Amino acid sequence: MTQTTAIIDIAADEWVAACTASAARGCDVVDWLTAVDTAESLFVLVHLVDPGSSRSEMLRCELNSERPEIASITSWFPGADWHERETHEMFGIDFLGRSQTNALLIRAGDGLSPLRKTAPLDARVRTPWPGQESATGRRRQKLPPGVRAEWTRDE
Amino acid sequence: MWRLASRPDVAVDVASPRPACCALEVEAAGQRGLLVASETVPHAATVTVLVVAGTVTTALEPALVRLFDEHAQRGPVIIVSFGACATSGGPYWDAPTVRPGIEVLFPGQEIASYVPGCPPRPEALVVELERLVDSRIPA
Amino acid sequence: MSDSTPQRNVIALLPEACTSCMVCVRECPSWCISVESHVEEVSEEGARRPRTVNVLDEFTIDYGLCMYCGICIETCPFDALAWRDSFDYPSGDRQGLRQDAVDLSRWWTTGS
Repeated sequence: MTQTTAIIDIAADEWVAACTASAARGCDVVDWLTAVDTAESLFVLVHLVDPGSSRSEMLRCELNSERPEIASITSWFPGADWHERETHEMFGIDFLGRSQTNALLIRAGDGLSPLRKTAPLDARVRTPWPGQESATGRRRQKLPPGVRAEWTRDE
Repeated sequence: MWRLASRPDVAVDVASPRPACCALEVEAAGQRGLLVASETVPHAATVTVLVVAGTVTTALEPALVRLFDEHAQRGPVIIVSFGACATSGGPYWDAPTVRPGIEVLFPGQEIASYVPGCPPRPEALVVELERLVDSRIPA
Repeated sequence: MSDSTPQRNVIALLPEACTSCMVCVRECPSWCISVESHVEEVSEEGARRPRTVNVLDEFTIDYGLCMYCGICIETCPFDALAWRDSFDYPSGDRQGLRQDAVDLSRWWTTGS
């Protein structure tokens, strides 16, 4: 039976302080750090664990979705380095105080933040959706699944 | 590298570049004795079957083409598209970093076979390999 | 070589059960199903006015895209789609994996 860890919301300017306070309480190992884009908001989350016990804390910070940035915690948590690199690559979030380059999986210059909801899926825009058809020939007005209206505006 | 268990007379090496989950089915074929692991370096007359088993990302493409070129220097290469990802990009057909199918990666080369599945069973691979070998390299 | 448990190796179609409702087409996450149909009027003895019915013209599954999730089978309101065991249907070309209603209905009875 798993325990659900409560999520604690932290303001951006208190991010480092909150993480180090969690470490002072014993949760000094970064289990994972990642981001969530709900389309309405963009969050960064970190799960800090106490390796000696089953205790852990999950901290969350809401970011500005137009210019997402937050302090890097790698100076205090070296284990966060890989996670911040990946989160930067996938969501385009700048982790201040560390190098923003050395991409992991996506080639530099592709200009993508693929896990952002706004990142266009050109293949879905270009490919006719089979679900547009109907027996009566009347075409459905709504967008195909996974296609946002703003991606089709330039069509 | 592998050889078909049923055709030990033919030096057919299955070289699977192992991009993703389909590669596990190739391993499973080995587990079930349908393919035999081979350490020997193939000689000049060997036919190589290049089984592309998994999602091909745009970052992986140059390595895959290089692998084909290396095998092509030793002899004929038969390319098999194994599973939905190699055939069309599969569930990831719409991802900007995924190649939606290997057809265009080897210009001038035919893809000898497209094996459907997500992933296909190990038996599906071996049955089709045996068919390809028997039709192109009679015993 | 085969297991005794039912396998999810191919999806079969029973065309006479299909009403061209298109639910499977719309729910398929891979966009691998396409259905063509048209409407016809059917007059019936004693009925006040003719019924309109959907007539299935073509039903295609692209097995090069299909990820065998089974959502189409689960959502079909008329049980016109089902799993079958056959796994051996590779093709020498990409187009050969796009199976039409004739191919798909053959699995229903012979796909075991």
